[in-house]
Amino acid sequence: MKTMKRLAMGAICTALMCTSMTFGQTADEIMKKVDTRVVPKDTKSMMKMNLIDSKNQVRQRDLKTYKLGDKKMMMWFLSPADVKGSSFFKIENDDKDDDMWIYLPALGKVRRVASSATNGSFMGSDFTYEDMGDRNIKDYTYRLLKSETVEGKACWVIESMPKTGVSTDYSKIISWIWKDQYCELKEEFYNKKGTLKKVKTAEMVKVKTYWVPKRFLMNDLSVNHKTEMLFDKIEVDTGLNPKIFDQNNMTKIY
Amino acid sequence: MKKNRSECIIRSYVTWITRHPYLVIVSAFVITAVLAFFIKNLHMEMDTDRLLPQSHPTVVLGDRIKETFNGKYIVVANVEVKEGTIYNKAILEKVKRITEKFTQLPGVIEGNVLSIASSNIKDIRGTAEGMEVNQYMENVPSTDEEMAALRDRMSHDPNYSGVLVSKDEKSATIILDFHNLDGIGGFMGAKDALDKIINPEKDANTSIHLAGSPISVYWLGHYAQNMKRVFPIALLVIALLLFFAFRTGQGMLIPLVTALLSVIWALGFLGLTHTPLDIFNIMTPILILAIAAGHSVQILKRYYEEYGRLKDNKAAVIESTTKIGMVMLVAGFVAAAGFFSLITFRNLSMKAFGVFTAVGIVSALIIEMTFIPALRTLLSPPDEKHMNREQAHSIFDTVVEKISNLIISRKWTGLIIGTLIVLCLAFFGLIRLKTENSPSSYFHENSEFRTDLKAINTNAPGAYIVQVLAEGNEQDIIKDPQSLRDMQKLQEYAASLPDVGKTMSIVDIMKTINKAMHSDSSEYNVLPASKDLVAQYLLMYSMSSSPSDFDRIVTPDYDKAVITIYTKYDSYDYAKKIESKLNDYVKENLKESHLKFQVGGGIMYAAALTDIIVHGKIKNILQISAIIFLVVSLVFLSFYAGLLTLLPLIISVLVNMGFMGLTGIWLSVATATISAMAIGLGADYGIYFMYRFREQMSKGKSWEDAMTETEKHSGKAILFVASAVALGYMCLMLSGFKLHIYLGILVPLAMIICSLGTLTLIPMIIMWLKPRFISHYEKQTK
Repeated sequence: MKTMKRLAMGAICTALMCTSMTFGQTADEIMKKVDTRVVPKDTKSMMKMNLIDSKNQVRQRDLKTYKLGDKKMMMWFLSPADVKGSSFFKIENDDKDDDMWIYLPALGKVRRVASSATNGSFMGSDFTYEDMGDRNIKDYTYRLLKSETVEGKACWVIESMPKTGVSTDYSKIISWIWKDQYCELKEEFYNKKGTLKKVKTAEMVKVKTYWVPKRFLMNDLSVNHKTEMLFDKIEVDTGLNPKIFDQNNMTKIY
Repeated sequence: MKKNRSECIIRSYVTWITRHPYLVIVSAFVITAVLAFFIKNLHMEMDTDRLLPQSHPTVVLGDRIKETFNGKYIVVANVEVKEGTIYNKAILEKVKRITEKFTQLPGVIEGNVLSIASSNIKDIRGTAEGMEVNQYMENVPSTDEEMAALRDRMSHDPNYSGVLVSKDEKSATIILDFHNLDGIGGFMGAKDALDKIINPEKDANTSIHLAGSPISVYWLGHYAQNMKRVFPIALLVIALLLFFAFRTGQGMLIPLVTALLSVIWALGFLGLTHTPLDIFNIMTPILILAIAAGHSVQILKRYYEEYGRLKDNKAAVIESTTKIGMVMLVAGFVAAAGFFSLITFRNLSMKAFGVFTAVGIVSALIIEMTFIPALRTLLSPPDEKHMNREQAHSIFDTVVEKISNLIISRKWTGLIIGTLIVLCLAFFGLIRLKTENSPSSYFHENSEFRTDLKAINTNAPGAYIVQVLAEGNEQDIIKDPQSLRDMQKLQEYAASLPDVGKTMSIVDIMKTINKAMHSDSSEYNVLPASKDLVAQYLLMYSMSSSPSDFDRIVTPDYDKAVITIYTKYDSYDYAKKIESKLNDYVKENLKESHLKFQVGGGIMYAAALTDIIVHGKIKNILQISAIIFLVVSLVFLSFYAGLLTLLPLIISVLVNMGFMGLTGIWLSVATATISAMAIGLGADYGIYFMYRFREQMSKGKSWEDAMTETEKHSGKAILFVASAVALGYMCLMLSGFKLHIYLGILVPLAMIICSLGTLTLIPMIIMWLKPRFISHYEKQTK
């Protein structure tokens, strides 16, 4: 009987030790590292955005994207024909609402688009700015749930709950954080009713020393609609002139 | 000979029953218990749309609109204040709480919730630099400045002012759209679920109103449930009348037992076979009750007659059941076949009506041929006192004697002229008969439903919708300014129609964006000039909105769009007028359009259902009549007999409809059902009457004596049951629910006309023409 008790105690101690080894960091620490992950100084890429409806009909958009760090972004539409030449320019601000401009060739004017809503769609896709990771780290409380692998990559599974008063579409988000690179490989978004609304998956590729996304898939289960973003011809740290990121440069495709 | 053989079979069968009364009674109880157990399976189909055949064009179109743009069950909630305006922190907090809780209800389409507090309602404004798109009220304004700003923005929004906030600012409206109501307990649960959310928000200054088709159906169902309370009262009155007629307890109870058991059996059968009951079939138990009681009274009357003659209980049971059993089986079979034939209808409600009534009739026949003779054998026979009371001269005797004398006297002119006058009046009424159905009109002016509806029609654009599907044959065709202009024309025309509160489509959004992009200059409150500009505006809008913002108005491919028209009425006539006006406009003004415009959805479902049910019921009447005619002709081997049976039925249906025309009662789903019911009832009367006439003739009686005897026995029984059922149902006139009032008028009218028609016209024609199917029996005995 005594032997049994000792064995049990030993097993519990081993389990606890293993747990603390795996969960060496707190959820908050992990998420902070995700937020401050080193990103390219600039990124150029071609993006194919596939909007897939419930009948699996696909509408394709082609865009050229330039990014400066992770705060400034400029995009030009190459297709479809009716929006070709339209462009979008966004500056992310930490302390106030983001600045956004759009150039519409049919109108011949650059217009400012103001919106405080984080639930606005990103380029009319199933991604909202919030889903694209445009979340303030201080707005959430985090809890480490477990470890799991996604596509063979070891991940932490972390639950993010919005603090009261935070404007969000979701009641909780569960993220699979790749332990090696501190980037999200999968996220589940739960609506205010507490049911799973969207699932986002990401595939990463290493370009130079950076791990950058090459494919995002967002599946909106509530409307059975999907958006796939495929990045091609990804170039990083190309020494993009910061002056390009200006409203006046929206009218021509760089 | 043939008749004797079948009589022998029935006689030996009834004799067997009287020898094994306990076995029969126990078996009947077991069957009743089993079927009563299955009543719990009975499912009430409240969604009247599911009763429509799925291939019906309105259903096909409505389902396409539903599939493409989501939603179908619109509920409108209106928060109204007595003092002040809704621009008050406490009130707006209520609106926000209600909106949030509504949005979280299962089945609600999040993107289709319209409210000043919902996330998809955006304030699109032009600024010096461009455009601002913001949720109207993400948080309730906390300062006076913020409140004033919100008020200013909303009051200047052409799309939502007068819709989400009333022009007088005393009420805010929340419009909900449900995929389905399964998650909140169906139609009957929906109102409770909504009430749970709104009731805590009501106070002395705040009233909250609910309307919309699920609410209408809830109230219809609610009042239909009242039937459960009214049914026993009607039953009690019928019982009292039977007591008055027979003046014995048995005379009162036996027909009621048969009637009630038949209803239980029929309901149990529906439960067993999972046939759904719907609000149009809720009156069917009354029909079964009346038919079953009718058969029972005929046998009971004969029993008293035979007992008086034979003075032996068992012999009287055998004799009466044998004599009447034959004709009852024929009459029952005729009616059951007629009703069962309704299974050929595509409409579920009609099928259920047919099966329900046919099973009820067959149950009555089985009970009358098994349980009742067995019970009768065990019951003590009537003593001298009872017999005397039963035989005592009553008002019924006076009536049938007067009728007999009139027929014998051959002074038929009065009768014929009277019938013709009634028929003329009926025809005059028929011309004025209007097909119409408006669920709201069935409710009392002061009912919660009507007051809520009135408030919503005053404060909000309306509680009902009609939708126009604009469909092109290629992607992005909706972005073509010509398509948008066509939609705009139709929308403007729709807005000019009476009792249209508001129209909504992508056109409004495009105009608003165009205006915003030109610094809110009102001269730009027009559609953009090029397709590219439309596309680019939409792209731009999508960047500050949620992707589902437009799901309710346009497809992602921009090949289809919908115009939603809010109306204040749900009536059939109104829906039909709107439909034809819109279609005419399209034919005249938009025939060159790239888009195909189709009117459907919302109240068009109810209109289609009225069309189908009303026309279906008319077809019911014709089909049942044809079967009655054929079977009766076959049984009596005479077309005369078939025609004679039909005569009182046709007159009764004509009078019923004519009366409705004269008094302004609409031919609706409910009233058409009553006419179809009358047919099933009247057939029995004629068959009993003619059988008895023939029986009397075969006993060697003269035409006059045969007629007098038939009137005295069969005629009196017919009069009994008709007046019992008629007076029973007159009780319903006390109910505040107009459907019950109509029932209380129309059922008695059908009973009176049917019974009087049978008692006067059938003998008159028999005496006049001496048809072979009766005179044949005269010759046989001579």
